[in-house]
Amino acid sequence: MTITKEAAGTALTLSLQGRLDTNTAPQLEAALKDALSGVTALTLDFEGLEYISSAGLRVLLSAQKVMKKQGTMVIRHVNPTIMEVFEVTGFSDFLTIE
Amino acid sequence: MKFSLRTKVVLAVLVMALVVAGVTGLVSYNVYSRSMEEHYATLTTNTARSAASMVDADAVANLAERTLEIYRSFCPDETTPPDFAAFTQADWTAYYAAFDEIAQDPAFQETFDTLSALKEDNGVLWMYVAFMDTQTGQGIYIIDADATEDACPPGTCGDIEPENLALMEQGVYDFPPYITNYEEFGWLSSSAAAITDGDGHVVAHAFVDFSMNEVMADREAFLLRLGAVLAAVTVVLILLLTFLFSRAVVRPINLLAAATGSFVSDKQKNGGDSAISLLQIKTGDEIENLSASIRQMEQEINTYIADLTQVTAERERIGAELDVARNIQASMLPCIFPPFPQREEFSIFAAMEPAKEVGGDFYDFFLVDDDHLALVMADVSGKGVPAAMFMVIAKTLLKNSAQTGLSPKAVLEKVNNQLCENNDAEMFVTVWLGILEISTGRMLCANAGHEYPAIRRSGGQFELFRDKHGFVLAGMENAKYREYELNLAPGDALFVYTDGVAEATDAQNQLYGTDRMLSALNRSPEADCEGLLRTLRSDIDAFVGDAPQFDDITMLALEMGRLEDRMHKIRVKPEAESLEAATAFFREALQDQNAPERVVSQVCVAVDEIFSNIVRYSGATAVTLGREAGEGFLRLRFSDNGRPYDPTQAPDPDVTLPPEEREIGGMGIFMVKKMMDQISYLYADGFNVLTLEKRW
Repeated sequence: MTITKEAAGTALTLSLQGRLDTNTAPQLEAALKDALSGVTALTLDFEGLEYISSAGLRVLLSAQKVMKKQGTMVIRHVNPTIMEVFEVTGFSDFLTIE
Repeated sequence: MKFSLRTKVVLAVLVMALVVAGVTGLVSYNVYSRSMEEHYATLTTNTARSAASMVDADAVANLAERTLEIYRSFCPDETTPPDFAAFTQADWTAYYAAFDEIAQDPAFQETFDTLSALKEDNGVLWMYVAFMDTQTGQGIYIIDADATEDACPPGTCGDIEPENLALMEQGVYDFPPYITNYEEFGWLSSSAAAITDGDGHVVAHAFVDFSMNEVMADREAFLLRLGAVLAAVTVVLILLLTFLFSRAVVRPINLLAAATGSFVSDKQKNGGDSAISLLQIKTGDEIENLSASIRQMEQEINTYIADLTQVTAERERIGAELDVARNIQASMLPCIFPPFPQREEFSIFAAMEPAKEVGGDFYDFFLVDDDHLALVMADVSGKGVPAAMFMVIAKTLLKNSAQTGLSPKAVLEKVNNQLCENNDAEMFVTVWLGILEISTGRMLCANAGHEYPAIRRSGGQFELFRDKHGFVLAGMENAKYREYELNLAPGDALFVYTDGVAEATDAQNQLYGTDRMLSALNRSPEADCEGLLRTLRSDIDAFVGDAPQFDDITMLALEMGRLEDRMHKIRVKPEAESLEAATAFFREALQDQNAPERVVSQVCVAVDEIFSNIVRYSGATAVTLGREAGEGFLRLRFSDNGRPYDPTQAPDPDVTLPPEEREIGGMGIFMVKKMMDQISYLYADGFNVLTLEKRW
């Protein structure tokens, strides 16, 4: 999985490409840990993301908790497979998906 | 018939006494009789001679001549005596009257007196003078020195004894004494002496008869007395001998018999002194020796019994321990059939029959992982307990090594070195080891000096597979082993065995041999593994007959499933790095089936969840992945040898909670359940087997 960062002031956009699975989730977790301080608007672009497993969900959940305190978190370009995962797991209830 | 010793002794003494008495009686009677007879003979002869010499021969000659003359006058002719038998009373009176003149002669009276005096003096019964008329065979009385009325008057005749007649014909005129027993006269000792005149002519005979009645009565009395004395002596002897014998022999023997007879009951009763040890037999002879010997024998028997009891107890203990050992050994070999009821890809059956209580043969089979089955057939040198102990070591080491996933060659090399380390007993073991990849039928094998395996291709016949042998295990350190590959197709069968099969011998010492083994195996091509082994076993039994079984007989048969249940399987290490390979393994099948992209993603998520769970939580050392794809479906199988865990039973997480209260655990399995069409779990043969199915 590759992560592309685009920072504009307190806005941060991370574009993910590949799979967010057990092996790659720690990669995203590390990227977020370094970049989230001071960010008020986090955008995760899933356009290039093939699928997401529960390990990825865990990272999203902790990011959501952080961003709820300091701003907003938006997920974009979610493909149907990933959308299904969000819906099945109830994540769609609290994630902002555009 | 049984007689007591006492009876026998009495009988023997009785018989002996009778014999001795008989002989003694006979001898003494004879001696007594003879001396008596001799005495009378001498007495009779002497008295007759005295009488003959004392009478006046001339006077007697005259009387004799006249008497003869009168006698002759009655004779019909010169050689025939008067017919006395026809005489009437008158005839007799006339006859004796004719001789009256003789009795009236003074010479008659003179001679009569002489003879009477002699008769009285010598106690003679009868004494008379007679003329022996040899011509008529009659003795004619001249003078009978008897004053009683019974006296025979002159002329009285009597037949001359034939012996005396014969003597006179020979010119002997003194008649030797002879003994007669006429009813009329009783026992008589008689003798006669010739009376001769001056010219030496025999003029008459002087006869003397001594009565022997008294003597003879004496002789009978003597016999009776002798008999009585002997009988008394016999009775006394019998009593004495019986008493002595009873004391010296019968009583001690009866004591001995009673004591030895109660030997066992004495021993059972208590530990005290036995009757034998209390025996007091002091006869000073062989019986005392016998008693001493029996006493010594009792002591030795007691010692022997004690030893024997100890040895028997020891043997029983060893027997019981051997029994336990046998149970342990038997329980070490997999003996529940079918061993893997869930596996339809293959069937297996094995049997071991030790020749002694514990044997050195063993077989083994176990799943290395879900897709690998290890088969072991081995034979330890020697028999009994040492072989069994070595077998336990070898079996354990082989299984441990094989379960780490080593190839057969590597297993044998490793185990060989381990066995060599402390092999003071210099034992060794031959091993055939095969590790089957169940999904492909590919089997890697190595042979350490063991018998050739037999293989039957589907529909064909069992044939020996002449593989390349390596050296036996524990024989030489750092020995190298070769590995070869067998490909078993569905329906193929493999048979491995120990030398107890091929080297079973019948009563004529013929070997059973592999040819008989193969033909027995080929006899029932439709039989399952168990049937194959049973057929072979009964064929061996029929061949061997009553001959004893010398070696363990151990066999194992494997048959590849005829059913087409062939998942494609790969083996991966249970670590995070293998996730990529696992995902690729399933993605490949999906692409072959042109599955939609969405399905691919869903399957990838499921693989991620399941595999990462195994890696993280199960503790497994081996994971096998299986896949089976078809039109619109993919079946996935994950099997691992980790802790039993059934994910289908995991509780579903609450997906309605806000993010602050969310726990992420359990989410993965929940997702799998939602995205897959079917999920099933099975724990079998030490493996967690999880099967998923996705349809589209």
